Amino acid sequence: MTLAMRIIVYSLIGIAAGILSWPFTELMIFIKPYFPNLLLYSISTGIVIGLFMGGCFGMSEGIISISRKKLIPGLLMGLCFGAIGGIIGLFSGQAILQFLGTLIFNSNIGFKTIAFPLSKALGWALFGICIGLSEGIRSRSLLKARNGIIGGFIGGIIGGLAFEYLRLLLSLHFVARLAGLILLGLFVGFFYGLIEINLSKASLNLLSGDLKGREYPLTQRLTTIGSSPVTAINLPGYNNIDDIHAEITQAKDGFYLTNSGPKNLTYVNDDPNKGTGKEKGKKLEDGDIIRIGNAQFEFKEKK
Amino acid sequence: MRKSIIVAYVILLSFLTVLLYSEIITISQVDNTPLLINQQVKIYVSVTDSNGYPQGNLEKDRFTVYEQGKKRKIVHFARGVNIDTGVNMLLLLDNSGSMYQDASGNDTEDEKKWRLTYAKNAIISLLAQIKNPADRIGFTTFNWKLGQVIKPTNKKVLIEKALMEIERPKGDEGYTEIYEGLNEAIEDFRASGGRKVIILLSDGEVFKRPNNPHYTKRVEIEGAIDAAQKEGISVFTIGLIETKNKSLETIAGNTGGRYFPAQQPGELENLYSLIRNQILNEYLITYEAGMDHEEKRRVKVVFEERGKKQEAERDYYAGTMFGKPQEKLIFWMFAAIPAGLLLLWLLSLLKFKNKKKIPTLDVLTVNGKKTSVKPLTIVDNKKAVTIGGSMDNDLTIKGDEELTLTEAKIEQNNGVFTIASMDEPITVNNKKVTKKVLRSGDLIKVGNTTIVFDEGVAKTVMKKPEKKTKTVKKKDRPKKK
Repeated sequence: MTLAMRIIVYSLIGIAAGILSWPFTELMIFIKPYFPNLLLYSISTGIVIGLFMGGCFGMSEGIISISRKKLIPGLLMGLCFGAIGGIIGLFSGQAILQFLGTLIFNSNIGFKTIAFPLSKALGWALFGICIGLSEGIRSRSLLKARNGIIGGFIGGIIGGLAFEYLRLLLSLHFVARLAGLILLGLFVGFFYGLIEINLSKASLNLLSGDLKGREYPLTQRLTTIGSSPVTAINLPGYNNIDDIHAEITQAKDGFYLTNSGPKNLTYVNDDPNKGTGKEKGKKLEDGDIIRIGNAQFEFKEKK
Repeated sequence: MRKSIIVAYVILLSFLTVLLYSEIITISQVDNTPLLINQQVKIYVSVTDSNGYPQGNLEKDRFTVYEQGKKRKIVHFARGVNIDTGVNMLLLLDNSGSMYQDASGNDTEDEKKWRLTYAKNAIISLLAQIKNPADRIGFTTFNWKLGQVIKPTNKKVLIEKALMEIERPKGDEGYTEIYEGLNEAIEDFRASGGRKVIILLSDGEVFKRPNNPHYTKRVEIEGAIDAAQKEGISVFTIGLIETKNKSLETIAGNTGGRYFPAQQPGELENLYSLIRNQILNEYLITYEAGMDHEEKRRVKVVFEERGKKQEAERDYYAGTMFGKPQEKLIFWMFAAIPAGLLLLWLLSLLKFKNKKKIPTLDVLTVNGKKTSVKPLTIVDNKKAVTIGGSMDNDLTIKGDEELTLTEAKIEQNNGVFTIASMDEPITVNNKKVTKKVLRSGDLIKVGNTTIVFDEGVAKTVMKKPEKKTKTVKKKDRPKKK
């Protein structure tokens, strides 16, 4: 899959997350008077939205790497981390909203139609950050967490503003919420996919086999390649590839290819690569052809 | 017309008599910070008698708290909690034409006899009384409109300087818009937090300017008092002359402040200690807040004394991230669940797989730009395919000036594909070669063009011995970006 396709798929997953979380959010707001306090209500609503966002984004890797085996673990972990992110996100979002809202409420500033929605958007942004961050923590990648923060912040601002202004414009709160949640999911997903490209210094372009034409951005410090679904670049249906066959590490001066085991062979430009274990392995240059089993990649590095 | 005047008079009269001679309750602050943690809201309340003296020994059971019209439980009640809290005091000085007359209303050029001079002296003596470093004083004047506002500050010099710089109004500017000026000052004072009082110094003579462009909508005395109550501001008034107009007494008596006649300067010395005393005798009432959906919640405290009820209202912000619910739950919204799941399922169906049954050559880039042409399939009725820049090749690349007429030839024998260069060595997988057995995914570079070779998955079939002669079909599709 190309990177553009990746963005589209991520965005669509985000939209699905927004659509799915909407009726449950509506339900939570509807039963709000039955909650004993605001804290419990905020936490519960955070969990509900976090579950759907986290679950959907957790499955995204499974969907994108076409590995059904990754779907279920990704979903389960996504649900857990999403719920936690949702709790923290909604609590802190609500706290900042109450703080800023009270400040604006008790002031005599003239631009309240801008200031109140902005305060709400900031609350949403905090919520988005936590959702984006939880996906980064789930995949244990600092870079992904950073991407999640940026994506979540921008998505939250846009989703929150859209919700607030649509609410004022349509006075149909539930329609505005649907739009807001979809936009939040869409932008978190979109920026997630988009930022991933922009922040990745290099990518692997698969040249052969079933998954030919796919690009894998190297966003993490350590990218594993193999036939097992636990690997970041998962190659099912290829021959002579071990479970965890090779890994690419990102150092300050560039990217290095190492074999994960002594029996695993990799080739760079048809020359065997002997780097294993703690050695740095072979330094990759832009345009290098990497062969693992019967899969061949072109390594592309941004200058 | 006459009837309405009488009605208005009766309303005003009852308003004065009911409110003037009883305790006044003021909510000086609403603190909603504990709301998210433990669902409580704190309110600071002061109760004063008609002379502005704080009632400091009241019991909890005298107070009832309502939020959005519903009675709420008081969980904590305390007194004397604000000993060190500073007060923001706004001095509001009448600067109308009549202030430049003497006490009996005669025009005089003797500055010492001006009402304004008495007022200035009163302010200077008040400034001298202020001892608490946390206190802040603001200053503004009014006549037909509000003058320049000095925001509350702890620099007394700024106030003294402003006193010196007061300009005498000319002509039409000399009207006295007490109520509108007070109302505007309260609105202006909103941004200052904490405890707020206004000290209004005036001769009490109201001269409304007809068609005043600054106050096209008038709030009158009721509106000004209402605004002060809503903001929890006590208005202390200083009357500079004796007058039949009781507006200054009314304002003070209805906002928890006190009226001081300036003709008796001894009394004025109590002003500051009275203000401090009010703060000292504030009650802190913590109550359990409700779960109402409104962003703006109204809290009301009712104080009962000798069967008489007094109440004060204030709003606070309680917005939530997701706003108000539907009035009636719409059940079609649950259709979103299958819709979302369907979208995810469709996405999971996307295989993005590229299973090629037959061998292909795929032009990736020409001159560094990506191409979008379909891959050339190499089918088995031709012996070899040639790659080059001229039209007679099987794979013709246009636009790449570095290409020679024919660069390379791919031959296959028993399912094994071999590439051979025609003249100069070509680059396969970043290596200069003249001949190489191709495997799937090999990257061929000729000139400025990159081409990927794919054997396809039918390789095993092609290896079968019965298919002895294999040729590659010529495909005359010029490849160009």
